[in-house]
Amino acid sequence: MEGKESEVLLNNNAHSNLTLLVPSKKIQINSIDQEEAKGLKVEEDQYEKVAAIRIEGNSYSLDFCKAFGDLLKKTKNIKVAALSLRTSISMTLSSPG
Amino acid sequence: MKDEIPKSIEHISTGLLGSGLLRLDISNNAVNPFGAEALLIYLRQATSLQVLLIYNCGLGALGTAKIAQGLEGTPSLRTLSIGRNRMTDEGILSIARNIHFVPQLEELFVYQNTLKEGLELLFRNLRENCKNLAALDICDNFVREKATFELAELIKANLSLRNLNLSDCLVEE
Repeated sequence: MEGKESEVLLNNNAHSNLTLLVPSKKIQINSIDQEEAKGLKVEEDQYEKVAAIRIEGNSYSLDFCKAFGDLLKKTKNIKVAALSLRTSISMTLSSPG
Repeated sequence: MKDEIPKSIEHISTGLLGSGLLRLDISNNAVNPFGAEALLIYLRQATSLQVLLIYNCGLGALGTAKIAQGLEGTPSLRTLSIGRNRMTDEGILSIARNIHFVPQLEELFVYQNTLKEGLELLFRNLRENCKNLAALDICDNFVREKATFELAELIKANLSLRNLNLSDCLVEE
């Protein structure tokens, strides 16, 4: 899920329901990234199947949020929107031997 | 940043208008008071929303008041997680005053918010309005004498309460 894989992935495991997953990428909020927004696409006939959207672990530009908002308007059956920045930091300290 | 975050959240809020969303997790984002105002666009009519996770978002008292305003539009809300937002007493009082708008509330998480006297009204209003409350997390705040009394009354009155986190609250008799 790293690098250039910024396109929206459609996960069709649930037959009728789709999960829209934007791979985790760190982008500065001030770096307007048109390419990122362009990647946010769903086939026209698929919008109604989108039940969950996860863009956790991301930091997106204003342009991205505009494109994302436009996409949300087309999803009529969305039940879950996970937009949290989940950072998972674990630290293991070992005592000196 | 101050200008862009509210606009970004406004796009998302507008996009969610009219949706039948059940769960929104926007935690760990720099929502801040300005972003909370933008989120109100959606919350004011989020009639289907059952779970709102907005912890660690830098809301402060002002932003929390905005979210409290939004409770008027979320009658189906069952879980509200709004801990770690530096809301202080002013913030929790705004939540307490509007808690009657979410009578189906089952879980409330308000940990790490430097809460003191404001908890008294929260406990009283939870007892009077949220009969299905099953989980309450007030960890790492200050439960003063009057709040302790109201908490005891809440526990006595609310038989559905299953999970109460009071750790690190310096509970006073």
